[in-house]
Amino acid sequence: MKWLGMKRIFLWCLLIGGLPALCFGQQRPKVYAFLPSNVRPHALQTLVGREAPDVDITFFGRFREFEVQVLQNKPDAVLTFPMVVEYMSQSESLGFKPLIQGLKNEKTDEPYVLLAVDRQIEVNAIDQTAIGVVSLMGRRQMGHFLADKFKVGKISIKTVTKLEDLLSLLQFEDVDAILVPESRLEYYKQRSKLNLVITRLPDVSYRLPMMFVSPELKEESQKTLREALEKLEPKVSNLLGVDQWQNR
Amino acid sequence: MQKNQFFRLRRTRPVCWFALWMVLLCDVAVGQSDILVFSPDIEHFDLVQESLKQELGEACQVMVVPFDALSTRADMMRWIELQDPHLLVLMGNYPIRAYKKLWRSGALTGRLRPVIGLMAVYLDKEMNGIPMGTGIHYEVQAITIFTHLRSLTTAPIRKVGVVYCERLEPFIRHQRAALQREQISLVGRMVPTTNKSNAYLLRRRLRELIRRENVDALWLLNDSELLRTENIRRVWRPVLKRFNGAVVVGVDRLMRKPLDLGHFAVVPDHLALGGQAADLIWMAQQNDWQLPAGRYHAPISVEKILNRSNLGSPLALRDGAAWEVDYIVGENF
Repeated sequence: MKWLGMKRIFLWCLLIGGLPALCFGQQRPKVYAFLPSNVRPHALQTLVGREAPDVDITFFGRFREFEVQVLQNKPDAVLTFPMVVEYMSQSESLGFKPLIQGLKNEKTDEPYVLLAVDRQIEVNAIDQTAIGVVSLMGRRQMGHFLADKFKVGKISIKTVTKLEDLLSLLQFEDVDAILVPESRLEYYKQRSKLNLVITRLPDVSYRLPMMFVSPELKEESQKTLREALEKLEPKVSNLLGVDQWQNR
Repeated sequence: MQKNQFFRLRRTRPVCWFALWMVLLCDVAVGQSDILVFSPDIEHFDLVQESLKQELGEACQVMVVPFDALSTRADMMRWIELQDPHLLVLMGNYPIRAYKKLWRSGALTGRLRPVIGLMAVYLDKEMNGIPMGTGIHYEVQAITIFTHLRSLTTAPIRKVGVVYCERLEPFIRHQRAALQREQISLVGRMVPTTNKSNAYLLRRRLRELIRRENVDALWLLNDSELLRTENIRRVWRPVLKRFNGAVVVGVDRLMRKPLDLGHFAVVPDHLALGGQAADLIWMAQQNDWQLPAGRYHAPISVEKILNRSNLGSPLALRDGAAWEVDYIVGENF
């Protein structure tokens, strides 16, 4: 009798716990996103989650948190800058493949500029300029990445985790200039009354965010992810740094 | 009973010896720490240490030694001598004071190493007298607070009022000069240090700022005397209730019920603070473990807390401003 009772309780538990998992859990692909922005990760998560209820998305505000979680939990997909996935793939066999590319003004790359107070930056002497950047891959790797972009042997950088913190670096004169995407110029000009002078960098651009998926992800889930991003409101896509999504 | 105890000791003694040997071996193994951190065992401090270690990764060996009000200078000296680190990180006022005394006593022998101070109140004063001392202030600077506030609200933020006690005059002077760069003027009203708990005087100073100076925002400093319970009840609450501008506080406690004093608070982002300290360590490492002494940096990254249901008039928010704050009182805070 006692055994039968236990069995019944177990079956009920299975039914109550298992059904929702069957209905929702398995069909919702798990996505980890890392896209530093002026909007807080929890707000981005709410906004995107509201518009894409079929996707289980988590936003991270810091590269280290994102890196640890991706390596530990192996999500179905990641949404971030291609260079982040390329860097992480160097040390770990992640095997992510590109699914959908973000575009801005129909381009896959975005030009970056230097902002400094009261002066233009001598690009020829960039190796003697302290630059503030948002950390996309940790300090050391960002240094290598930017030295490569600026075609110099070594570069002096200070890293921050949020876009808004770059302005503080300028306010406290901790750096000579900050490296920002061209599309965010207005954001900084609106926030500050400092005389921010732009130095254009014709050869420096970042590839725009992309979604990468695990090779084992079913075609049906891939379709769900593609549709979710394509259906995002332009305002929300803009917060992610793109204005359009294109299949790869 | 005695026999039992005897057997227990005999059984545990090898275990004790093994443990002791392990401790000694560990001591030798960790004797090559590049960075020695002295810190009290407090949640916020742990966050900073965690982030510091994460940012430095395998580039530096970091060892954290718990150090609080009960720890002794002899403990500190033993650890420094044992580890012989390239650099010291002192977190909070206790380790800084202990190190300063240790240094002054002449007991510390060996090489001179850079010292980074973190999470201490008025860090530059505390670190004064420590050779090769540098660090990051714990107090969020006015320029950071009011640039953030201005970006969140549609109301103008051109003139900010603050009541402060006499001994903070140099701090206020520094904040005023920095804010000027962002075209925000800081108007101060001083309260004599001996008289700062005087409710009448405090009320008069506040009213001057609001009526005569017509300030757009008020900044409440974290001064335990100015913010005494009696002052809050008799001065701050009644005056702020009728104030139409933004009220900025430095402690989240003042934003919560039943006080509801401020619209906006800015506190250091502890994970980012660890990253900022890691930046200093990187700099030292690249420069043969040398750092420019006497330079105290401002905390760069902050967490923003918003209170929409403040006891005075609500803060007029720009569209999308709530997405840019970390916490909203009553929603996720």
